[in-house]
Amino acid sequence: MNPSMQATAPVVLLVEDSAADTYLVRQSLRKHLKDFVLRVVDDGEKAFHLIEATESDESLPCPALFLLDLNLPKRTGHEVLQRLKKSAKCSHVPVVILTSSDSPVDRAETTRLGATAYFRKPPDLEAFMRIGEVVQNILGQ
Amino acid sequence: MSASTEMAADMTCAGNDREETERQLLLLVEASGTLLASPQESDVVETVMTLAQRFVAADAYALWRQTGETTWNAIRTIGLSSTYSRSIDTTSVRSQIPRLSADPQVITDVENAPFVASRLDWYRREGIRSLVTIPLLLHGTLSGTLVFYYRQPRNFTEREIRIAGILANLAAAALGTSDLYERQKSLRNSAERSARRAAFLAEVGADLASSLDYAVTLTTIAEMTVPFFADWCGVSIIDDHGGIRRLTLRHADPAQSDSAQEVQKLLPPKSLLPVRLAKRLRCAQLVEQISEEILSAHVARPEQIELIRRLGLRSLICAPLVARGRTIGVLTFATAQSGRSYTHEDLEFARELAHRQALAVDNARLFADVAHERERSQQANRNLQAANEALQRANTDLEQFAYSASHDLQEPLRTVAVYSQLLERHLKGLLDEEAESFISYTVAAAKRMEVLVQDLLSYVKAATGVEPEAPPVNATRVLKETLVNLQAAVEQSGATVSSSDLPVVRVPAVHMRQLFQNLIGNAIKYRGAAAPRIEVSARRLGLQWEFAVADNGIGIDPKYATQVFGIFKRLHSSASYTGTGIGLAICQKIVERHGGRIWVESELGRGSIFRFTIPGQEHVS
Repeated sequence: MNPSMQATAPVVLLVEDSAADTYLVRQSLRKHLKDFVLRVVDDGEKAFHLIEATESDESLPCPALFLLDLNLPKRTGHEVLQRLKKSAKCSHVPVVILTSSDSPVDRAETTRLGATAYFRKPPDLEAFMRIGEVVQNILGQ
Repeated sequence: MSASTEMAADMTCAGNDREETERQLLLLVEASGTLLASPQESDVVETVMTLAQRFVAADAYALWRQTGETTWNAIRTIGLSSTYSRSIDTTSVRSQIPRLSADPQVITDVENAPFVASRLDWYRREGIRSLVTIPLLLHGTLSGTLVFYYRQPRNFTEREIRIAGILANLAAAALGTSDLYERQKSLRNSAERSARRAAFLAEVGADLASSLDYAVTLTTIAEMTVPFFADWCGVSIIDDHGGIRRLTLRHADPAQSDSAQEVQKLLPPKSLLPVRLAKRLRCAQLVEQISEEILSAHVARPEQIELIRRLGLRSLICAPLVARGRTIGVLTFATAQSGRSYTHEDLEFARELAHRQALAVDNARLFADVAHERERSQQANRNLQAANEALQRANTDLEQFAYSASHDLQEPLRTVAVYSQLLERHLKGLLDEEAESFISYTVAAAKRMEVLVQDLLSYVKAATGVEPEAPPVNATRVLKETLVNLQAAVEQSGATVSSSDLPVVRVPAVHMRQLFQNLIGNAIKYRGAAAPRIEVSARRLGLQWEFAVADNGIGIDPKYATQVFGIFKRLHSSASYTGTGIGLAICQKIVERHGGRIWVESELGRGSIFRFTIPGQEHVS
C-alpha cells in the first residue's frame, strides 16, 4: 500500500442512488471499520468523472475501495466497473458489487469484469449490516 | 328330281359338239392359269364371272358363298336387278335348298319345283324360270355355288353341265387359294397390327411414365391414336366431384376442327350413352356398327343424331379409365371416313390402352396428392418453426421482464423491510406492546412479499427458461446437492432421506434440483408428529422415468390433489405453515416443460407420494 495513504483514513467510494441504502452502508461501515472516509456519488456519470479526475491529477489518490450499485442513473454499474478496470492508475482498486439483483447473469458478468465481491442487498437488517464486515475483510482492518 | 334324264337326251350330241367341248375345255385349262395367278378374292370372283359368261350362255349369273353359320350371300351377280335378294338364311329351309347339295342341281322350271317355293317370288320378279346350281367343292367341302339363271324353262345338256362343273372346280380351287391367301394376309396383318400396337403401347407406357402431368400425357396419346387406331379420339376425365370434363377431342383430319367444335358443343361427354355406360359398368364397350336403331334408341336430340350422321361415325369404342376400382375417366374412339369397323380385337387393344392410361393418371394424381401433402407439411413446419421462434423470443422477453420486475419490486420492499426493522430497533422499549406488534407485522409482510416476488420469478423461470438441449444429468448427484441445501431443515426436523438408484435424465440440473428441493422441502415442512421419513425413488415406465418422493407427513385430502399444484394455492394458513404456495406450481411447470406430468397420491394423515415422469431412455446411474 502506498505509504502516503497510510497516514490518512482509507476512502471508500460508494456509488449508490438510494439514500436509504447509503445510510445503512454508512452505519455498517461505522460498526466494522475503525477509520474510514465514505465518499458517495449518486449516479454512474459522477463515478466516471471521479475516476477521470483522479487519473488526470497525480496528487489525487485512488479510493481504497469501490462499493458499486448496478442499477444506477446515467451510467450503469457495469459501465463504471469496466471504466475503472481500464484505468491505468486505479484498476487495482477492489470493487464490491452492492445490488438487489440476484440474476446469475449479473453475477457472472461482474465477476468476469473483475469485481472482487458480490453483495446482494438482503431484506433483513442484520444481514444487510454485514456489508461492513465484507469491506473490513477486504481492507484488512 | 334329277337333271340326269334331261341330260341323257343330250348324250347324242353331234361330233362337232364334242370338238367344240374339247376346244372349250382347252381354253378353260388355259384360263385356269389366269384364274389361279391372282390370289385376291375380288380378282378371282371377277375372273370366275368372266369365264362363266364366256363358257356358259345364261341370262344371269351369281356366285354364292357361305358367309355365316346359316347365311349365304351372293357375293357377285350379273344380270340380276339391284332389288334381287342376295342373302339367304338357311336356318328354316336347310333341307329344301338344293344349292347346299354337293351335286349340280338343275331346275328346269321354278314354277314346278316345290323346294324353291320360298324363293319363288324373287324368281318371278326377276323373270327367272330355270336355273342350274353347281357346287364349289374343295377337298369335299362345300364353299359356295355358281348359279346360272335362265328366263325360259330349259333343259341342260351334259356338255353344259360338264363345262359348268369344270368351271366350278376351277373356281373352287381359285377361291380356296384366295381364301388361304386372305387368311394368311389377315393373319399377317393381324400380326403386324399386334406388333404395331405393342410398339405403340410400349411408347405410350414410356410417355406415361415420363410425365406426371397427366392432362398433357393423355392429350398426347389421344393424338397418337389418330389415325393409327381411330378417326376420332376423345379423352374425358371424371373429377373429384363426379363431373365429366373432356380433356381433348382429336380428329385425323385437321380440316375437321369445325366438326370437333360442333361435337364439343353438341355432344358433351355427359350426353353420350357409352360414357354413361362406361362410368357405370366400368368395362369397355364396343359398338361395332352405329346403326339407325342404336342412334334413335340412345341419342336424345335430333340435332345430335344429325351430327353423328354427318360425321359418318361408323363404329365406336368406349374404354373407361379405372384405377383402384374407381372410374376416373373415359377414352372414346370412333371410326368414320376410314370405313373400318371395330372388332373385339380392337376392344382388347383399347382396354389395354385405357388400363395403362388409368394407371398413369392415378399415379399422377397420387403424386400430385403426395406433393401437395408434402408442400402442406413443409408449410406447416415452417409455420411451426416461426411460431417456435416467436415463442422463444416471447419467453426470453418475459424472463427478462420477470427479472427486471422482480428486481424493481424487491428494491422498495427491501427498504420497507429493513427500515421497519431499524424502526423497531430504535423504538425498542419506547412503544407499547401493541405498537411493537404493528411494526413486526409490517416487517413480516414485507419479507413475505419479498419471498413471493422471488418465488414468482422462479416460477417464470421454470415456465420460460430456454434449454433446448439439456445435457444429461445424474439425478443421484443432483439429489445429494439438494440435500446439502436442505441440510439445516433436515437436521432441525430430524428427517431421514433415503433414495434408490436414480437415472441419468435430460433435464437441466437447475430444474431437477428445484423439483427435489420443493418436494423434499414440502415433505419436511408438512411433517406429522413423527420425524420425517422421506424416500426418493425412480422406476422405468416404457419410454419414461417415473420419480417418486414419498413421506410420512400429514398427507393431503384427495379432493385437493389437483388444487395443490395451482399457483399461490395453499391448504394451510401461513401461521401454521409458512410458504407462498408456489413451490408445487413451479414443480408442475418444470415437469410439463419436459413433457412429463406430476401428481400426488395421498390421504389425510397417511403421508403423501408425489410422482412425476420425465421422458428419456437414459439408464440408471
